[in-house]
Amino acid sequence: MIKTEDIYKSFGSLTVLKGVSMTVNTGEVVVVIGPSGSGKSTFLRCLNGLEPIDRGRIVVGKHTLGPHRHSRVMERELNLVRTRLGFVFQSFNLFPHMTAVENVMEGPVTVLKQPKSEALDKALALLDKVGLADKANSYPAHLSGGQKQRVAIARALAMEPEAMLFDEPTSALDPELVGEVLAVIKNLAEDGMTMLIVSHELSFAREVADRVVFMEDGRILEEGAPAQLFVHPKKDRTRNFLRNVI
Amino acid sequence: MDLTFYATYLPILARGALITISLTALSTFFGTILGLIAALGRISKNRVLRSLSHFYTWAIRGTPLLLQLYFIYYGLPQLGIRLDAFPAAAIGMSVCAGAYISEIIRGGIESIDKGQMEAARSLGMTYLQAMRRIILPQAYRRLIPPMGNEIIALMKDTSLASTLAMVELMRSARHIDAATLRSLEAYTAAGIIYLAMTTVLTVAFNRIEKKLAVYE
Repeated sequence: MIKTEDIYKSFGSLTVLKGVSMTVNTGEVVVVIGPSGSGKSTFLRCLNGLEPIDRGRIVVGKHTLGPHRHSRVMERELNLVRTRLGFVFQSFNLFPHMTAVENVMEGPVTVLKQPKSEALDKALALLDKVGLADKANSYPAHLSGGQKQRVAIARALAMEPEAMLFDEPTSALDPELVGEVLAVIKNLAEDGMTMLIVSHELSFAREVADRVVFMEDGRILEEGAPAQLFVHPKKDRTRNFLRNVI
Repeated sequence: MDLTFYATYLPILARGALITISLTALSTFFGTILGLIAALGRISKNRVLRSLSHFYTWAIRGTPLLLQLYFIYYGLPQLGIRLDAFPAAAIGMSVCAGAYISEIIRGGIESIDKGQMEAARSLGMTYLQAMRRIILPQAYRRLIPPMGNEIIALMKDTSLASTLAMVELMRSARHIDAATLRSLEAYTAAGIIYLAMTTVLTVAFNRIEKKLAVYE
C-alpha cells in the first residue's frame, strides 16, 4: 500500500532523514516511535508531499513520488496521492471559518466534486462515528482540543482514503482528552483501516499496532511486533529509549 | 458666513462629490483586483512574478500619487497615449491603490497559520483551491480594518485629480471660491461633504467588521 525506498531529506545543512525504507501493507497499523528530533514527523510529512524529499522514492498504491521540483505532472500525481492518504495533524488545523460539518464536507465538495447534499449526509454520519453528531454546527473555536481532533479525523475520513497518517495526534491535547481521540483511532483499526501513526503513547502503540517502528537520528533502528519490540528489544538504543519513556 | 450661499452652490458641490465617489469606487474596485494579483505574485514561488510584483509596489509606493497622475495625463501623450482627465485619473488612482492594497492583502495572507495551507493541500486541493476556499476567506476578515483606512485615504486623495482638469469635489469648491470670493463658505461646505462621506465609510466598515467576527 505505502512503500518508501531509501528516502533522504535535509533542511539546509541538517539531514533529517538518512535513508528510510518502510512498507505499510493494506490493513496494517504501524506505529512509529522514537525520541524527538528523530525525523519521524518529517518522514510522515514527506509521505504526502508536505515536505519534498531530496532522494529516494515513495510509492502509494499506483502512484510514485520522487524528489520533485514543482513540475505540473508531479503536482497532479501529488494531489492524487493526497486524496488517497488522510492526514491528521498534531495541531488539528481545522478551518476556523467553517463549522464542524463544513470542515468535513470541504474535501469531498471541493476536491471530489461531490454534490453538497450527498457530502452533507456523509459528513453527518462521520461526525456521528467520532461521537460528535451534536457538534455538527459548532465552529472550531467552540470545541475542545479532543473534539477538534475528532473533527479533523472525520475530515480526513470524508475523502475515503486508502490509508490514514497521524502525526502525533494527541501531543497537543490535555491529558484527560487523549483517551477520546485514541478511542476513535482504535475503532478505525478495528474497521481494518491502514494506518501509519507517529505517537508518544507507547501503551496505545502496544494495544493497537501490528508493527512498531523505532526511529532514531533519521534512520529506522528496529521494527517488530509490539510484543517483541517492547518486551525484547534487540538494540540497546531501543531499550534505553523505552526505559526512559516508560 | 451666508446661508443662502449654500442653497445656491450645493448642487455644484454635489455634482463634484459624485465624481469623487465614482473615482473612489472605481479605484477601489480595480485597485483591489490589481492588489490581489500583485499580492499573489509577491508570495508566489515563480521568481519572475515575484520580481514584477515587487517592482510594481516599489515604484508606486516610492513616488507621489500626484507625480503618477501627471505622468499618465501629461507624460504619456508624448508616447501617443492620450487619455481624458477622468480615465487618466481613474487609471492612476487604481494603479496606486493596487500597490498599497497588495501589501495589505499580502500581510493578511501571511498572517494565516501555515497549517491551514497544509491541511487544505493534504485534502488534495490545488494551490488555487486552497487560496480561494481556505486562505482568502480567513485573510479577508483581517483585511477589513486596513482596507477601510485605505479607501478613506483614497477618497481624500481623489482631490489630487483636481489638478488634471477634473471637476470633482475639491475643484468644485475652488470654482465657487473663484467665482464668489467666498473662500470660507466654499471650503467649509466641501469639508463637510468630505467628512460626511468618510464618516459613512467608517461606520460601514465598523459594521462589516463586527458582522464577520462571528466565528471567533
